Amino acid sequence: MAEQVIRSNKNKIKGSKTDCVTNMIIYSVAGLAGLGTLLPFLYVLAGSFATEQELTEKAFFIIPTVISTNAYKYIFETGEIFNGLKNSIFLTVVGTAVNMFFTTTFAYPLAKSHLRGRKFFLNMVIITMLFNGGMIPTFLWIKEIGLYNSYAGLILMVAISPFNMIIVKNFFQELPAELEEAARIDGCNDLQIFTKIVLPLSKPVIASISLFYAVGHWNNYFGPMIYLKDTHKETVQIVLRRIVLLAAGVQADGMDFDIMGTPPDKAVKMAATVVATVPILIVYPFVQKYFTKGVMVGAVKG
Amino acid sequence: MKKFKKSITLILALALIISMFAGCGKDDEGSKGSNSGLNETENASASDENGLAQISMMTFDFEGSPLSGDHAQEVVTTMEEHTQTKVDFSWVPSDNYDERLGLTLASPDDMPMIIAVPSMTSAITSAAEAGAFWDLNDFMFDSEKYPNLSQANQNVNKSLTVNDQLIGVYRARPIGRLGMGYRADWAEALGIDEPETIEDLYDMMYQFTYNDPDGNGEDDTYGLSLCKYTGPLDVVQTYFGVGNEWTEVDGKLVPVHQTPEYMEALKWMKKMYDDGLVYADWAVRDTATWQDDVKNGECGIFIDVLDGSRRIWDYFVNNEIPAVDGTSYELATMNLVGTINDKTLATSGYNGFFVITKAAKTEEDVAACLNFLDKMSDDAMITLSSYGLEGIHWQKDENGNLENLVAGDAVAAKAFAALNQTVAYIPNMKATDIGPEMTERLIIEEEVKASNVDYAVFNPAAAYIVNSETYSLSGANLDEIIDNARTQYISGEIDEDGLQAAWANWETQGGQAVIEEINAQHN
Amino acid sequence: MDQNGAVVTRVKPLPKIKKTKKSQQETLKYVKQHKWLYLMLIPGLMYLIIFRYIPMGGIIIAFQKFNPFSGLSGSEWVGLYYFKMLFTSPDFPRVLINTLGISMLSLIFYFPAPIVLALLLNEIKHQKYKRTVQTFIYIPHFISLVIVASLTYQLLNINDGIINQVVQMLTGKTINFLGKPEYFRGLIIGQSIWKETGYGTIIFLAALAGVDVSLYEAARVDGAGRWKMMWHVTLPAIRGTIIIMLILRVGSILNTGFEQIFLMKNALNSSVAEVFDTYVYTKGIINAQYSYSTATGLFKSVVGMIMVLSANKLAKKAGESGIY
Repeated sequence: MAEQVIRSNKNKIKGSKTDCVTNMIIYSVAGLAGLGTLLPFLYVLAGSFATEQELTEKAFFIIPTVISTNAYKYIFETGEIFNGLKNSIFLTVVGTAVNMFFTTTFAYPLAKSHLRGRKFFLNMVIITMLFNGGMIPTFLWIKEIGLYNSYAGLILMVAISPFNMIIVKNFFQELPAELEEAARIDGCNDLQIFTKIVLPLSKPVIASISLFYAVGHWNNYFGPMIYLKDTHKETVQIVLRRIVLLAAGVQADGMDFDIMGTPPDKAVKMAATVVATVPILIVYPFVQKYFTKGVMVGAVKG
Repeated sequence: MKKFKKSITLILALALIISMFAGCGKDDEGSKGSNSGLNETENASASDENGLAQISMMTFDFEGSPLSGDHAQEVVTTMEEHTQTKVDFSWVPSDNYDERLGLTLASPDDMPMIIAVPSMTSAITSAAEAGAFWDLNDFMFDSEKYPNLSQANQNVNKSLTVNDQLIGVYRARPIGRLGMGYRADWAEALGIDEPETIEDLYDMMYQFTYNDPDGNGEDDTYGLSLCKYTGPLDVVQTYFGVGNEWTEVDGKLVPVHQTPEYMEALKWMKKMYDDGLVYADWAVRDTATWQDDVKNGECGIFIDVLDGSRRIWDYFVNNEIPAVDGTSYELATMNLVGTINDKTLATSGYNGFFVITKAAKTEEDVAACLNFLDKMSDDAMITLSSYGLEGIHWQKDENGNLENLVAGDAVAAKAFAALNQTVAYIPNMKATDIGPEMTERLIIEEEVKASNVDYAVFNPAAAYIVNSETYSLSGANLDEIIDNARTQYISGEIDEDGLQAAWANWETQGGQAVIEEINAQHN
Repeated sequence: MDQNGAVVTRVKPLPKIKKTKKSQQETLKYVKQHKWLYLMLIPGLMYLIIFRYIPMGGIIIAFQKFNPFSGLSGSEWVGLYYFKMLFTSPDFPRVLINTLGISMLSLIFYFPAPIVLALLLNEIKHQKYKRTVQTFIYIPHFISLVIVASLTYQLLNINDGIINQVVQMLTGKTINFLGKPEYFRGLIIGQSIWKETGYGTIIFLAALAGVDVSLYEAARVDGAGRWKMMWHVTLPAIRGTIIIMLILRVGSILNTGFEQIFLMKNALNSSVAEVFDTYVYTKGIINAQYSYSTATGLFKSVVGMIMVLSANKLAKKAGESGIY
């Protein structure tokens, strides 16, 4: 007994020395990763508040010598961005909710290895991951079923991402079988097991997959571009892309329309990045808390 | 047997689900109809209550929220009165126009009558061959009905002719747009005159690089500003007598890389690179740096569209960038030069064109469309689409010049600016009756552009390229082979043998076929 | 008889019992018993059929000389014409090698990066530090590739790029990272790692969060140090997730993504930079050759399918759960 205690103590002491070095390495690598990703963004942030001149002359800086809000003024001037933000938020929130509904309900039955026809359904999903008909046929079909130029269409079109669905399915599969057995003994049917037991325990995967879907919707440029016709339905990505292109003088095709004045080109690109990025960045810290350990403690016992 | 029954049940179930939704789709016809219904009713009748013709049109939207805001309705009414046409617009954002174009062509029932097309692609040529567009040869040259459009340049029209059908009304752009701009203050400081020959040009580049034109004692300047966009090289080639992509040799059309002048030009460019007169890494430099390098005083020469040089000049003036010491200039200044060795590259003369689709069902519809396009090129409409309404967006000043009241006001401009995407600018690029007072720089730019027209080198195969099947399929790849080879040779990555190998590769990958197809049409 | 002379009875493996076809009644009974499971499948099935399978018919474009105006029914049938064109093109071997090259390197270097980083972050006890780093590394995912490309240029160019200035101090010369073909692949992988590793850790961190804490306790009691705990508790716990990600990743072996390569490609490195997606862009999109691009896409999909199925089989043989 005593030897065991001494032995384990020895390990602890040995551990603490190498532990310290390991910790240092771990913390510094993490720190480097953090810095390496933060600094460029700080440059973009600083650049969005800088003058055209400074951006042309300097290769990199974190604090602009002359602060100018021209880029932001240019972006917000026409007010379209607010409409775009509103639409994007709607698309992201509703879209993600729809996604999670379709994805979890489809993933759960497939997680049951005893399901009849399981392989068939899984194959169905995998095939869609790899094969698709292309832009024109999809577009024509969407138009045919009357979902063109509607958010309903845009959201339903991507109701399930096979990749995300498989991740959720595998997560469900790894939940201990005893849980289901215990619940069944208590008289629950499949639906109740799903809603009362499985879902609450799946917080980490739901949090992360919701995040994936949300980011997907927020960044989705191509979908709204092709499938939405009315300008008042535009999402923030479309508005921003157009602003950036316009600022870069892409339109300059020989006609001198100095109506708009000379827009601050580089700063606008950076400001647009900031405006498009910040809202969704804010979401992450809130979701982080679901990635904490200990979610499973007491699950079986409880 | 049982398994068979099982699969049948499955299939029937699926079929049931699908038909449910097909039925759902039919119910939604109402809402679907409201989207495209407008087009359908427009197509049905050629005129509405006020006797105004009704047409539909799809064109570029660059700024967003087109024809919106204060006074937008007045602008639209003014346009309708002048053209006697009501237009149902489909504004398509410019950055994904190509995809939307493909989708529009794929829905023949829903197509607008007029479509603005950015360039001739195989989607357009094959649609034309399938009869999607009207042959404008039969209509456009009636100078009574279409005083403007009938003046369209016949050379340019050739580029819009597929299978002998003229399918487009082009959107005019200046032919003499390409030229050279250089730092006038640098030249004066070094005692160099305006270059006229290729030797002058080389000398200027050399001195700009090594003789410290900005007088700061540092070896930090270059001659020509060059980046990964190789357009300037095409311009410089013409100074050597090289043609514009294709040239005629002994009655046959050949690609310019097969001519001896091309090799001469390439050797000159290689020397330029070897002597350090351009950035060593020009081939990877982003296009964003191209103008900037001149703006921040690193390079002294800019070869491309003349308004590019003029804009750099504007930058100097607006930001009060000082000229180098000891010259007669106060601010940094660009001098605009049209030709070297009396040559420069011609543009194609147009930037996109309008097609009239078979959604215009009758000849009256076609006439209505052409009439609209014709009227939009009138002075009044050019002014309307460029500057807005008199008294509201602009007014006449004492000298009879147009004074822009809303310059820099992006919001106000939304009332009218989108209209300029409906103007063909045939025959005039600017309104002839009134215009803003031009800055000295703009005046110079216009003069040089105009004088270029006589010296600009055209592409004799422009009309045939669009009808070459091999070019439709592989054109972009073929062009890339030649372009890459040129870059690699200049940068010293390959030698003359490497060039020959690349050219041989070009031939086997389809280049030879293109030569034959083009010459078949030429004869 | 084995070496020691002991009698060893070889147990014959049981003959594979062919699954008797369950009668329809048994299946129906099962469905009734688990009716909720099948009901739950319906929304997803409808989605798949309506939004994925029906449009999939458009693959037929690969076998036609498609032009949008004539549509699917009006375009001429050309069979394997475009496939032949793809395979016999002199560029095909080079494009294939370039694509595979980048994919392989990506698999070796880029794929493990989020896993390693996630494991690393998992070891950090100081919650605030961990959370902060997590938020930062997540940012590059949202910065558009266009900006990333221009940042790359600013860092690495031979005139005033910071990296090259350092290199010059150390070796006296500059390295043309952006122009020389030999650096291209490293550049692309490096960019991907910078941009996507942070975002990629999310899924692994979530998996790590699901690890039963009591397992760690048990390991500690057994005297396990940090490394042992990682090897015996942590890694096995996320092994399932890793395998899944790997199998799915393998399915996109011929996909490199278009935009990133397009932005970094130039005349000097095009010999290694031309991949399927950029090749199809030049040939397919600029010239609006829908058929050619669809045919190439179909080719990539078929290869991807084979890869996924093979990888899945391998995983199963190794005792993992795989996708099925």
